[in-house]
Amino acid sequence: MIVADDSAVIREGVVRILAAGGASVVGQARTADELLALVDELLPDLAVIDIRMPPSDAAGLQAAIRIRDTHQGRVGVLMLSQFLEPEYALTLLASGAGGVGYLLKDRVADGTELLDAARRVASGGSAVDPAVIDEVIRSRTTQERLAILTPRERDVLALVAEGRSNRSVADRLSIAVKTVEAQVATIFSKLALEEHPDDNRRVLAVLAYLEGRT
Amino acid sequence: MPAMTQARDSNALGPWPAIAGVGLFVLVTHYVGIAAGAPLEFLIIDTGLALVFLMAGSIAWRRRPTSGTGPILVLSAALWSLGSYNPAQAPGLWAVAFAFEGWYDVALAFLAMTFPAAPLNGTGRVVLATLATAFLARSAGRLLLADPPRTYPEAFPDGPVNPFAIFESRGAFEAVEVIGSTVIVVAVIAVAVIAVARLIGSRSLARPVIGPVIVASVVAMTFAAVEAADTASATAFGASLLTIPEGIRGFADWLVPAGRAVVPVAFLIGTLRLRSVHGPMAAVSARLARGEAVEDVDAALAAYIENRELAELLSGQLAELRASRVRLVAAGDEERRRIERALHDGAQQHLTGIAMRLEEARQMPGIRPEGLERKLAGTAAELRDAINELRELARGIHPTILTEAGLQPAIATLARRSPVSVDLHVTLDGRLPLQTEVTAYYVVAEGLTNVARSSRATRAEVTVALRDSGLAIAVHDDGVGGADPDAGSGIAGLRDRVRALNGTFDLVSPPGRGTRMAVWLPCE
Repeated sequence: MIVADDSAVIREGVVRILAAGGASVVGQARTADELLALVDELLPDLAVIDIRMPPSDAAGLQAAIRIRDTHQGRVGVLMLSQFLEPEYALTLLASGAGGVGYLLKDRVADGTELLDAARRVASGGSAVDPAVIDEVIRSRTTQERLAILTPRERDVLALVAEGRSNRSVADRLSIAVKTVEAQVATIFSKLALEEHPDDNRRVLAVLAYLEGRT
Repeated sequence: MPAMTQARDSNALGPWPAIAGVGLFVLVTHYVGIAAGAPLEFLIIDTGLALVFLMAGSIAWRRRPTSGTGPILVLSAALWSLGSYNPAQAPGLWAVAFAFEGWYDVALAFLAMTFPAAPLNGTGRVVLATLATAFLARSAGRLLLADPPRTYPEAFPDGPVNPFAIFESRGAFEAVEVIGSTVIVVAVIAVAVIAVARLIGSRSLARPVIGPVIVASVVAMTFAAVEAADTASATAFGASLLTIPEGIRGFADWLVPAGRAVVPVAFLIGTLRLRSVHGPMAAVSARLARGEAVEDVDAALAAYIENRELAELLSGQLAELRASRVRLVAAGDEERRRIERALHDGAQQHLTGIAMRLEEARQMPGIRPEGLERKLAGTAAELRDAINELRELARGIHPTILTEAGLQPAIATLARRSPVSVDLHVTLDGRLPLQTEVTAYYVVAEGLTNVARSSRATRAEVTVALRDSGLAIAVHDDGVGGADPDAGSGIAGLRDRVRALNGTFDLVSPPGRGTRMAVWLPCE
């Protein structure tokens, strides 16, 4: 794994947590250029990237998108951000190919959340910060659209939107995978969403729906 | 002339006393002539000419009180009368008349060079001064140096006596006569030349006015030259230089007074023509020609130029003010961005780092005092709240998403966070100028804040679209309406901001029929 952040405190903290979780951190970068060079050289399974890095404001995000596009599926991209903006998450997820994640920086303090997201993204899955999903679902307009769902269905939808697989959702809610599968089917039918066998495409579809983009 | 003008100004009767005085003088002198037995034909010509001068002068004076032409013509009537008789029976009068013969030519020369109101240039002044000096010298010679019975006993054995002669000298008298008359001939020719030059150099508009006057002046000056030459040749000394044949002399005796009669008439015509084209411009051009209006025109031009300069200055300052207003808005935005960045990249990062260290500390193995775990967990939760608050604060100061991702996602965030359901209709492609985007964002933010705060609306609609090479933003709700655009600093500040960018701001909020805020911003 590679960790890229211009703040040494965050970078080293992230490295420690990942290392403590059993991951091997092979490189650290302070700028977007360093990151891109390291990724091209080492081809890690995951790059944890600060959204804001030198040289420019959006350099971290741009580097993440570039890695996602050039090393599709091989190098996972986990974005660490101080912005509670679904837009960024959607921008990253836009390809629908997976291997991308968007996590709030303060989430990093909780090591288990970071490790969970890192593992999912590294293995080609998606991870969207629960706070970002909450931000989307909380919206009055979205609430109105989701009024046809039961509270439990809404919980399932939120976890699906985070990029979790049915199994992961089942684990979280301590229910059977079969139950989750059934609920997901109901949700998708109620919301008139097309079902995707692929988890990553499913995340993108759900997020887009929640954001009112469909 | 200024003295006359002043007299006229201070006298409620106007020019009439002067005219009456001169009229009386003309009548008296000519009555003296009649009493002395002057020949009828000369009486008719001389008296008639004097009266023509007087009448022309009176009309000109009355019609154009500010012009010097009238008074000079009246004066000419007096001078003409003064020199036109030399009755032998009144010795004193005869001597004065003889001495001052021809002085009206000085007045006419002055008019020829200045009519209607041109300033006398340097050459003109020299010519006029020369002419006057020559006349003065000749007058002095005639008055003081000659007494006909003594000076010319062969011609005037019992001729008129000059009681003023203090030094009788035929030689000196003739020398003064010849030199003075010769100078007069040269000077009046110069006057004629100057007059013709004026006519040639005049503008076409001025020609009807000065044309007849100049022609008459040239005639008058020619006669003056002939007369002066005649005078010079009348002396023995002069006759040795120039002899005018008797035939021509007799012809001239008639022609000269008759020709002279044309002069006052011509001046009258010129003056009346000047009158007929009277108007603001004629007055100004006359004053200009006289040299008086230069200050007026100068002042008017200066005022005009000053006005123009003032207007330019004002519009320049206005443009500068507008520009500075835009700069102020931009500077404010930039400052907010700077603060937002400082909060995100500084304080928030710092707090996140602390949260991570705290988490590490919590993970550290070992024996812990009672309650430490709970306290650390509580601290971590508080820290998270602080970070969240900081994030919200930073977003409120300046939404990063706006500068980095554009207006559409930024407005989506506003809509998402609105407690009232919002229908978004944002049709944009690409980015807009930063100030337009930021202002549009504030418009939607303020609009939705008002919807949430005071409209009791259930739905709001936000429309953002490009229109008329600008951006049209509308926030519409189904609330109670009656919003006061002047209440609350939010709307007022927003309106100022929109207008600073040369945009338009409309707030329509009829009671009970919702509120519509419509803003248009230029995209430059």
